[in-house]
Amino acid sequence: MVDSLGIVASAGGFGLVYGLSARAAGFSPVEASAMSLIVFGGASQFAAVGYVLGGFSWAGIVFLTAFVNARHFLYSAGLAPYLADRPRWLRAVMAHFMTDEAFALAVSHFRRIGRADVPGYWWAAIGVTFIPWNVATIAGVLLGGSIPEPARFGLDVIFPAAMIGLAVGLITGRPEVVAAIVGAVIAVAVSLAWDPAAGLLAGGLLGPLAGLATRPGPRERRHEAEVILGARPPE
Amino acid sequence: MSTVLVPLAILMALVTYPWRAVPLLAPGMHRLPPTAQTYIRLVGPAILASLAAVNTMVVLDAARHPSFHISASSGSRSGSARRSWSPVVDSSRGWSSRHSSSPSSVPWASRPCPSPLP
Repeated sequence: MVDSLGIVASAGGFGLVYGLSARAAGFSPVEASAMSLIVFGGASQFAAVGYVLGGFSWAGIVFLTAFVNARHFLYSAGLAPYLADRPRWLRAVMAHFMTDEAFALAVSHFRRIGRADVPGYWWAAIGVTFIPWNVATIAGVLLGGSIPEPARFGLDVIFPAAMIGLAVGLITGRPEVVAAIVGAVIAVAVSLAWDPAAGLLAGGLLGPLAGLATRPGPRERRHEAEVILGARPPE
Repeated sequence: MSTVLVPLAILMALVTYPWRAVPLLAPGMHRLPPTAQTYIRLVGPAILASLAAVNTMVVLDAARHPSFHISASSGSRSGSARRSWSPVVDSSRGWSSRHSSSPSSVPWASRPCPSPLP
């Protein structure tokens, strides 16, 4: 329950920031809310705001979205053993609500009780994440629309600050730190030498290669095995 | 009210959903090589850090020529003049910020800059 409250606060806070950023980037309330309802992926939504600002083509935005959200594959794989005996249609619906937060809450809950708990998943995915995220998005986009010059209030730093906050949230060890730093350096270098769109693509795709070359510590390897790959299936 | 970006949201959802659904709907499909799994896990931090870095350090002028600044901008679309953040010393209040409509007016290297982020 305490974990849930923390995630409600986090989803609400980031949802508000997303709404403000989207509004500042010129998204209408319908467009910003459509992103939150249909995509429902915070990092990729923030990234889309940056891509739209950067003048990316839609094809480029969609391509990078696929990369940003590829990590959901690991979350889904982590929960799959618990949900294997549930109806296919139910698993198909559950998949749409799979996020970092829903996975974190669900997998720890499933492991604690030793089996799947579908109502518990809905609580984590919808009650704790989906609803606060979408309500906060609407609040942010409406609030942002009522501020004539966001930069006067320092709101133009919200976007990069949110990006850093989200990146830090995904960092669990040395390889992630290296991937983030190298990705950022490559992105800036290529942006200056060529174009920001190419820089973002290069940083996002080459940074992880540097992370792959970094050896995680023993504690990180254990954490990786337990949290990401090794959700213990029900007995 | 504009709905131009709604189809983009649908396309983004279409490329996201398979990542979320395939392991749940097709058991065994999730057995990627460990290296591929690690790469996938590292893409998120790398892309988000790249976005933050480019957004704070690269400024485009009206002709889309990039230059290096410590700046933050989200309130204007690419191609238009972008505001740049630069720290200035206010003797009574320490570091504060100012906005300039001319990115090139504040060379980043001309004075030490703390991070503009909170």
